[in-house]
Amino acid sequence: MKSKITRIIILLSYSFVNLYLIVTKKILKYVHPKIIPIIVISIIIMSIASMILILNIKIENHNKSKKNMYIIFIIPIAMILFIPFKQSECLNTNFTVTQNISIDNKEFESAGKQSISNNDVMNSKEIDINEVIENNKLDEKIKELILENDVIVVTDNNFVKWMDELYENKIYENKEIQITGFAYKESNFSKSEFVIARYIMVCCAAHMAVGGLMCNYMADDIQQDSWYNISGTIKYETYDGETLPIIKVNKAVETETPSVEYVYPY
Amino acid sequence: MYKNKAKNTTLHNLTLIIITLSFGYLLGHLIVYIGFDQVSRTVKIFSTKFTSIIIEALPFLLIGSFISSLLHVFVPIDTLVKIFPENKFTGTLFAVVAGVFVPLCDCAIIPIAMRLIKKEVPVHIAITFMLAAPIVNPISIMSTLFAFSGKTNIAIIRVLFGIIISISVGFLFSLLVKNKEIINDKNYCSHCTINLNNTVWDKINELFLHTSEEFFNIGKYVITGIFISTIFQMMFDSIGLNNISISNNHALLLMLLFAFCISACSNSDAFIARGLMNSFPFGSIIGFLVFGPMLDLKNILVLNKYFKRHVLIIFTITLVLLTYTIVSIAFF
Repeated sequence: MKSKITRIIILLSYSFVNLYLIVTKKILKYVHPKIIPIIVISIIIMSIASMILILNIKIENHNKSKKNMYIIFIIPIAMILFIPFKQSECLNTNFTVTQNISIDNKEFESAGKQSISNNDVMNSKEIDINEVIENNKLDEKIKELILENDVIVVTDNNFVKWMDELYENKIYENKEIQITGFAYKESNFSKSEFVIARYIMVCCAAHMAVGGLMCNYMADDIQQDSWYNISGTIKYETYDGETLPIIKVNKAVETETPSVEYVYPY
Repeated sequence: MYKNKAKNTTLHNLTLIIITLSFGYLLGHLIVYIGFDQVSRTVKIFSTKFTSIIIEALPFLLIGSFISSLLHVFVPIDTLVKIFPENKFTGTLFAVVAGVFVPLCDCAIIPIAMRLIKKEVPVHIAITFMLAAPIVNPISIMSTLFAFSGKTNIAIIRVLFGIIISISVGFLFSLLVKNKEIINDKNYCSHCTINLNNTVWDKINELFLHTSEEFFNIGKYVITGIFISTIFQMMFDSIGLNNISISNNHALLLMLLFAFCISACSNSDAFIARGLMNSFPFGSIIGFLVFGPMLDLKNILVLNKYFKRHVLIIFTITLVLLTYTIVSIAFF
């Protein structure tokens, strides 16, 4: 009886917390949007299950599970409710991203979808058929990435695709580009260097990837973690022995942090 | 009976000790970085990581328990056995194909696979299904394709090796243990005698009661597993795996250990693997991608609930050895 009441309370509080997160759209900070339907289904199952538990509350429970195990279920709820999800706090640190960001900028770039890693992959086992398939795929991709008046406009929706495209196909030399993101500086960067980056939400906030482009800007007023609208031209330059796309920045305008800070690869 | 109770309390104490240690780790951080800012940031980061995995994983777990309960309540015991082909080879292939149609993560697939074993489906089919499903399901394939954009060969190799390893583990495991001695009945749901002639209302009642029963029984292990693996993740983050340079075989071992400790779900681990691509040999990355969905910290805690102890040990050893040998033969 007592354990049933505890179960009902836990099930209901899970459904309410999830419902609250969905209604306030805070859920987007935690998980990828594609998971929301599954959460909705789970809310429905949980509510029905708790109703049926209420109906059966008088029936003797023959399972003798320990009472204090329920504390395990309450910890996450308490954390969601009482420990703030401070996005900026978290994003400022190296902890939230996958391992690659914290080390040096070469690996930082590698998190951002690029060609180096892919070239390493191409070992002797690669067959020609794969390349054919890839070429076809690239053609499809380019169709989605139309230049507006010969300017590359990177938006939330095509961010990941453009990053892939710029790092993989080095055919965009001297093209103009417009991109929005937060500025990221490593300690070994020179004063004019920073990375304009976005966090890429794959699955949930625990496994974030970072993608971005190296920028070269002669002004030194770029603030770490502030958001900027950048416009400039693409150059391919050798950096630590690898050819990378780099933006020669013409203009950097500070903007407000967008309501959805992440981009989604799919 | 008495002995079993004693065992349960040791397990319970162990869990408590692990949780205390975890808090100890957080407290350790508090001492290391004296200063409220650092501490509160670490706690917030931990909480963010932990809760976001919980928000993502629990719905899958609930749906897994729901499907398992559906099978339990509505499907008579011999129907499932008849569905699977009798021939061992076609049987396992069928299990792999079935996995394609169950787009669930690894922790949700376990209750379903265990239900299959309970319903007297042959071990090799159930185990192959359990191991292959998280890898061959469309969502995980899609995310692998996206993570290694354009490089279809990685997704293909992942699926191929996932199938090879899960089939061979399934066969070897079925040779080593018999169907009847796998499941630990003492821990497994005490009100399982279902009368299939009950009215529909009774069945629906039973369905949801059983779902919540299973959810709470497994949920505590899943949450504990996620808690510990979040700590591991933060530790790995601060070490920075990319700085390590080691030989091929050690790299493979390290990647298997890494996959085990961080317990990433099969939909997101491809993106983690991509970040490690530069610093680790190709084979070890494949090891990470294949092994992670099959066995990790939270899985082993859940399996511990179902399997008898010696069965779990046999299962773990078979899986680790086979993954290690198959991957190292193929790539090194």
